[in-house]
Amino acid sequence: MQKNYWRIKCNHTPETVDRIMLSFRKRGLMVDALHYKKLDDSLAECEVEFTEDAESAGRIYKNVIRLVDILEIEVLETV
Amino acid sequence: MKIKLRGADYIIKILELLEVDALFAYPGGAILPIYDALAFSNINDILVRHEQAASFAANGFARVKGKPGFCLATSGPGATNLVTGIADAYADSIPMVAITGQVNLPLIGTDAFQETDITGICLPITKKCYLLKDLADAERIFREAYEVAINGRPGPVLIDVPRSIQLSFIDVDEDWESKFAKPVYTRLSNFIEEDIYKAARLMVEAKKPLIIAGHGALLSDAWREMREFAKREHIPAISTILGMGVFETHDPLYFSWLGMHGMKYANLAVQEADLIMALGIRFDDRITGRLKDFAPNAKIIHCDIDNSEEDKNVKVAAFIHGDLKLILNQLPNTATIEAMEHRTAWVDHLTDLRDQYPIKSVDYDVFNMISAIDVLEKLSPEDIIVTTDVGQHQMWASQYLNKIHPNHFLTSGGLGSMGFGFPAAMGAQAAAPDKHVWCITGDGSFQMNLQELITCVQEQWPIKILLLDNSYLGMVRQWQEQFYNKNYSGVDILNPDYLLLAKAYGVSAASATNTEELAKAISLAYKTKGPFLVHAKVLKEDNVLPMVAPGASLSETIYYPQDVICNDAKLQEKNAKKLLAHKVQSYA
Repeated sequence: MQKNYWRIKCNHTPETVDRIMLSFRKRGLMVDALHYKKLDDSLAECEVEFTEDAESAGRIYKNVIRLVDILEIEVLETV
Repeated sequence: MKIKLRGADYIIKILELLEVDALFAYPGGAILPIYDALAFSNINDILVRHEQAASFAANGFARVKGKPGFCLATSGPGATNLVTGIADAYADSIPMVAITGQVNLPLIGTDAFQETDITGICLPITKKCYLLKDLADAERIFREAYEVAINGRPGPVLIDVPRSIQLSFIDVDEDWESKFAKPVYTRLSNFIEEDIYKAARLMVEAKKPLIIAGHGALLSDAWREMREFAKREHIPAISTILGMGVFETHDPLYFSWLGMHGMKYANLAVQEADLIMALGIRFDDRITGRLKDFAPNAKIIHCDIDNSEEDKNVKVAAFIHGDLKLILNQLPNTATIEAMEHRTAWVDHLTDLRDQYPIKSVDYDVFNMISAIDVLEKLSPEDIIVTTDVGQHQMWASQYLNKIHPNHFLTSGGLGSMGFGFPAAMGAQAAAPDKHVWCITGDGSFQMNLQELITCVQEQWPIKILLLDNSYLGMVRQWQEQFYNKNYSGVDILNPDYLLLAKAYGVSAASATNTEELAKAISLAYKTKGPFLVHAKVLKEDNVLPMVAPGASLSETIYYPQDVICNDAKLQEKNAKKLLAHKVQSYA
């Protein structure tokens, strides 16, 4: 298991947080911390911290980047 | 100058500007203002008999027409009934716009009558969901939803429209319609020259390259380029089931489809190849078999419009992110003299494998699903559209239909939804009114949406149904036989009298218990102007082979027992003689 810290740039929409969380929830997983912040009327930034092995993290990553409103995922740190 | 429009009229006008010509729909309280506006619209709203059929029909329409299918339902149960069809479209990447009515905006969150959080329910099965809270956003949202549905990897979107929004008013410019810009498909080229170069290097180095063509090739309308590419490079090809039609079945470079019930020679081709060119596929578990043993000798080039597919299920040597049509046009010619020598030997080897492991011969003396499907094909013109449901008949239709044109074989691949076939045929018929549309279905699947018979009568759709009745949920029974020690449970299905049922719906019908009767029934179906149900009472217990057992590798594809006759020319001759009488002008 590893600690994963991601910063996600995304469109600010009513469903964006749900869709990000969906990528965890549908596999029965949960984040350790979540910080979502609106940057302007259309953009937001979401930082997530979660503890999963590299394989699970990779699959979550794939699920998140498929989302229409996700613009960029920055993997800040993996410990 | 401004004009005042009621929300419902404004939305219907937007749909007209999006060139929606068929709307598969069912009314209800929360969508009534939209229906009121529809009464004055030229949009063809088709009254289905269950909302699930609306979403499946929109799916079929989209596949044949090459543009998004639209479906509409009221709030609550109307909306939730759409869900399976939306999920199906998501699994198979079909562009679709689902519109639902919602309770009045102030009532949302009060557990109002027929209130359900449909945008929440549909989050995992749509590309995007919208709740229209302000009529001023309607044009932007509908345009964006349409654009999201068609661009990138296609898929369904949902727009939830509260009744109060439909009833509210908006002031718009008098000439707003002339300024409306319908979104267009933009071909994505997120690849760079280096990606192409890398792929070309792998092609040059390979001695046994193999193309796997997927649904992406049809969705991006790249099947012509794919055929030309394979021919130019002399690289053999197989496909997924959803990729059927990309290649002509009789193309000497095409070696059928792979996977759980794919041809053994196609599966072995994957296992022996040293390069897989995966073009518009997603490496579904039904085609890879045991993942760690998939294509053990091959490097993989994967071309797809969705970059989340890169290394998702299978590690690849090169990934090219973009529209397949653009990619295929960029891939350089690598057919050197040396490469052609290797590729010719490889094609010859695969041809030998095909001869060694042919498909089971059709025998018209045995009335099973295979002979029934074969009779249908033999009596049909070249360009029929076929839809299937899900189960044994689906696999046999995929194996035995040889005249499949691009986007003319509609089946629920990813989700595997029983009940898909008949409404999908309705969508196909709406999209292509001049084509012959056949739904090949089983008795289990057909009972999931047979209420749509009356829709076909009302719409005067001449859809033909080949109902293959073995009085079993055949595929489940097969698995219980093979993997659950013949402990048959929940598979013995009682059927209604289908001829009486058809009569009650005003649909012409005929029954068949052998191939001669079936040939007559199919001929009659072609001569009948309206819908027609052919009820074929086929062999009760039969197993689909070849088969890759769950958890097994493609190398372990189970072939037919030794006593099964394959590739028998005399049998084909005998079958042909039996059909001769019926083939004459059967579909004139």
